[in-house]
Amino acid sequence: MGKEVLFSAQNITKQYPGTLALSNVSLEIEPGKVVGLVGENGAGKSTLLKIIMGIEHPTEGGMKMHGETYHPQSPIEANKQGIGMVFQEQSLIQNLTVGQNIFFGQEENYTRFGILNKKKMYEDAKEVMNAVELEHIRADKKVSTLDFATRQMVEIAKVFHVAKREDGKGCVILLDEPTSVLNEGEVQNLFKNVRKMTAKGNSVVFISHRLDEVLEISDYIYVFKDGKNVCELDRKDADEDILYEKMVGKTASGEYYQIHRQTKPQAEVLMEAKGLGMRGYFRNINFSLHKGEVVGICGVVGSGKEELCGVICGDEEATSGSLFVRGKEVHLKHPYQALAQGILSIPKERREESVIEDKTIYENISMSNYKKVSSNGLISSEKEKQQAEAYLKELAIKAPSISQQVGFLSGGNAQKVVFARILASDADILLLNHPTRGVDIGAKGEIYSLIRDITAQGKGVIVLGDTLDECIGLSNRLLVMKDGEITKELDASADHKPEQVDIVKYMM
Amino acid sequence: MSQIKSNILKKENFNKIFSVASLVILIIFFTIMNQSFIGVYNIKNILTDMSPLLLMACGVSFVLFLGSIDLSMGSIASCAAVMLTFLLERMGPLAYVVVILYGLAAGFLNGMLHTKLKVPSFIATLSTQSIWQSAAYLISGGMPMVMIPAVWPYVDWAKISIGFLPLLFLVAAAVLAVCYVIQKKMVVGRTMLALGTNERASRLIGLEVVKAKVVAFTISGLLAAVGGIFFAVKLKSGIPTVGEQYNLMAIASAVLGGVMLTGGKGNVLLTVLGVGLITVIQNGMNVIAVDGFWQKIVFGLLVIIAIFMNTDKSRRNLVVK
Amino acid sequence: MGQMENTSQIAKEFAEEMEKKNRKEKITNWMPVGILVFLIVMLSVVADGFLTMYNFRSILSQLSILLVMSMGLTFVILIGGTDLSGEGLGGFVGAIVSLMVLNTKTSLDLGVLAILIAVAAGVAVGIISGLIHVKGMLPSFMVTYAISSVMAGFAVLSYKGTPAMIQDEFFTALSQGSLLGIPYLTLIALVIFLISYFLLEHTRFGSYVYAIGDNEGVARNTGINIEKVKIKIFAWSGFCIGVAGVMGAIRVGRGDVSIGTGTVFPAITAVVVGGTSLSGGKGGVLNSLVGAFIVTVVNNGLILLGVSTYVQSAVQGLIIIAAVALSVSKGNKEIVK
Repeated sequence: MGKEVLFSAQNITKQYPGTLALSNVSLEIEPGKVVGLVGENGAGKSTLLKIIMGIEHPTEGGMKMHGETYHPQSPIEANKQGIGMVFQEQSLIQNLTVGQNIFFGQEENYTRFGILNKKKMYEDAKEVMNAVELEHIRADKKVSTLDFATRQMVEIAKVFHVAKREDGKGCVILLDEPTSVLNEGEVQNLFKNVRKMTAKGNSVVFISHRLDEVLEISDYIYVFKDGKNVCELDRKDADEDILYEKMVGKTASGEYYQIHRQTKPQAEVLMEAKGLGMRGYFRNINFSLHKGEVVGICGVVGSGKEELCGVICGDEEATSGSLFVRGKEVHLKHPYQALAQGILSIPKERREESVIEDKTIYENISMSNYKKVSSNGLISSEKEKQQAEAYLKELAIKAPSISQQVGFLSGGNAQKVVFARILASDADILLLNHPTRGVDIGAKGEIYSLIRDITAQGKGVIVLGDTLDECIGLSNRLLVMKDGEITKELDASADHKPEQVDIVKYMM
Repeated sequence: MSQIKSNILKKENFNKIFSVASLVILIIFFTIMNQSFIGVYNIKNILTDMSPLLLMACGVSFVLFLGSIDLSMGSIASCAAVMLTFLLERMGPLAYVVVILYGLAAGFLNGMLHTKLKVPSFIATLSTQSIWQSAAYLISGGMPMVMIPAVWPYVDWAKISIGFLPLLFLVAAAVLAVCYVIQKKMVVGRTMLALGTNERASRLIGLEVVKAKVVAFTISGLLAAVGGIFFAVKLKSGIPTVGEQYNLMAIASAVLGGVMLTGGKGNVLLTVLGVGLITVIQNGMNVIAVDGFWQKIVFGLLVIIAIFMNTDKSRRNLVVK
Repeated sequence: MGQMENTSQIAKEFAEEMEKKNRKEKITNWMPVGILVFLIVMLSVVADGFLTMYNFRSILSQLSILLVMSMGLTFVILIGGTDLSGEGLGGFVGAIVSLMVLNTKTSLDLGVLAILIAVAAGVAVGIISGLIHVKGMLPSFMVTYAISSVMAGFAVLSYKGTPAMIQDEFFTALSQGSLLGIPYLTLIALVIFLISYFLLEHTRFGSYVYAIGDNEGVARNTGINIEKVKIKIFAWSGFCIGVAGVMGAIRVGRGDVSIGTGTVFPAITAVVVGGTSLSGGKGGVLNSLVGAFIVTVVNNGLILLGVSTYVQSAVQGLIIIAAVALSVSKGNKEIVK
């Protein structure tokens, strides 16, 4: 080894109730280097950053900064140790000025009897901004009057300033998706500043889903997958294809996705999108969904696939084009209107979007179709319970009883309750947005089997897969989206599955 | 797991247990202070006094299920009381229909302001509260209105009682039963409770969230108006401020019965506990002749204690505004 | 490497949408001033006697208590909370200050010291509200609503029966006198306004008020003691209510609990109409000053036009709904409680 290390993490594990977010992750950051972190959503990058910043605490493992043990209790402590972070969601206070934001929480030097010396503060803020070549941004302007890119630059300037050690030793700056709102020129300015930082012996950790940027700026790259650190690559040895392959991992066998049970779509069209668009998110989307078909939609974050999904299930409103269900045009404003047309979604964030955690299993199952458990217009608890008992058996949901609150179930079992609700709803156009997210391996298999059952009944399914592999494995047909448009439509019939790399081409 | 569950169960029941226990203690206390407290006459009195509050507590429970609030009930009741007094002279029993329609409309208006204009419920209902209060003053000219003897036949039903059960109380009890059915057996009631816990999920599940909200506010407005009718027929007059302090009492009753201010939890049937407790305190204070302003102090404190006991403080980083 | 074509059609559309939103926001920011100007112009035309020196003075006088109330409330609303305790607390402070100066009921004659004690009582109750809100994690509007009831009870309790009449000459002088044509009470209100402005714009406390309102999580992560700041905010609100209560007692010359009645709603109206967002983080005391003028001018106009006083608060109700409805975002997904 013998190389100098500025910051290191050893065997970090983070266990949340029900999920293992990080498992045995180690990494080393050398001074003066830019370290790229890549991985799919949910691979554990954000959790690691939160641990480094002291927002979360590791279940196991430790960290070192300049050779000393480092376990921050809060972001402030992390800052004092020389570690700062630009968060994905902006953390500037809108109605304070640029200068007030830069020194936010550190007003001691500018305060006498609680009174702020704004003049001095702005002078110093000017200096901070100059140091990162943002002379054109005035320190006395309110953040709310700036555009998003400028806010981002202010945020970065702030972090460059905040993370400082008293002993003057090197610092670590964490940049989590800093370029998502920047244009090319601004990205280059950011990179220039990053290089300036590193030239002084500081290090930068750079996270982005734009692999080309990661390759451009990083000296070496860590790839994350499923909460593990799968490899460390030198920039010289990496290109986009290699990175992507490492990120998604080995292709699972056809068995895993039960491809042999994949049904041939029927001729009848369930749903069709014609020139569908939502201003600022996606445009001119054309595709159809047949009975018994699984259509997979692939794309990176920001490709518009989430919003497209939202429009189809009635959560968002389309601004152009039209949507036809069984040949009839529909205008959806609310999900219940979509449900009336037979469209129902399983949203991505289970706890926030698809279960009512403090209600029981049986109450949750009947929610999308109360008619089924009512007599004379009144809901019958008896019927609700009978229905739940049946699904409990059919889907092998592990729970002490149907009167258990869903919040107490494990991820896999809670997701099965969601599937039970979907099945009870009698909807025949199902949007599955990351249907296996936060679900353990065993339950994943059962969910895949369930999806095969659903299509065998002649229902149509749209899948936004948790991984690209899953998307390919489950679908009959794939739509690849990039920058809000469909860039490619691929056949993925059972004997004709495309390779991941072929799809990635159209995503990036 | 089971231990966690039993703890939560305990916590949830805390307010109900508190209410029952205080109720028993207070009844004993007031009886010792004054024997006539549990006489048939006083029990009838208590039950009659309970009735309008029971209606209003029932109504506001639905709004509380949503995690919202209705601060306009008191003035809707006041306005309904003066409206009834004003209209009975002019149109006879038809006045009841008009006032009930008014209640529906006032509640519906709250619901629309809240859901369509996205005005937070407390501000929307605070505003309509001031509007209906003004209306009550305008109709009555700012003074209590007394019903003329000619209309007494239309309001004498309020005096009827079956055994020791006053008719007013029986009506309120029937309304309570209907409310229970709405909560437990109807989609709209279930939707209210679901969205109170998680509105985002409820919407995506395919529940008609907006409709449920509007219905909740409409019920609240309707029952406030019926409460106002009760005040008017009981007193044979329309007092433009009669409902004023009942808004806070209705909320307090619901919370004492275990309804959570954060939404999603509660049972309309149990509001009867809170209503009982509050009425007994009020009645008891009158029986042992305590000054009226003490009631304001006691009820204010009671509200704070009740919501304090009913808040889940285990959720860390919960932002409470 | 770099990116070859980096601005897609969609990205352009997105930027346009954002730009549109920004522009709209700028317009709404100036709306309150526009409304005030419009009202003044309109009333000058339709209402006889609106555009007179006498009426201007009476507007200033009507403005005073409302302005003071809305100053405290601005801070609370800026953090997304509400303080409804003014009715009861204002009445209580007014009642006790009347009992402590030269009056018809007690033998006390504490003079100015009475004011200090009374206002301190307001601050104390504010702190109690804040403590219950923060430590008990209870919604502020509910806590203060209940506190209002409690304090109204204590107000009546303090004088039992008839309220005390103030006989102190200093107080009567205050209620009637003026400096350069501006009533003393209005001057006091302006001083409170200036203090509020200074607190909000030029102190660390003020920055923290905005920060908590805008994003409590960020403020917490920056290491700010949020609870302490919140309690201070409620103390400040209690202070303003206290001052308003004393001013109310001075104006009516006696310590009646009704001093507080009907003061909170106009103050909320003023704050909201001025453009301070109910969800917090946006707005300020300048907005509330404009808002207080709008409310006062509307009320004054209604009186001049011969509209019943009962209608005034109904009009305020309509104004507040309109103002909030215009300022909130209205997507189907928006969750409002």
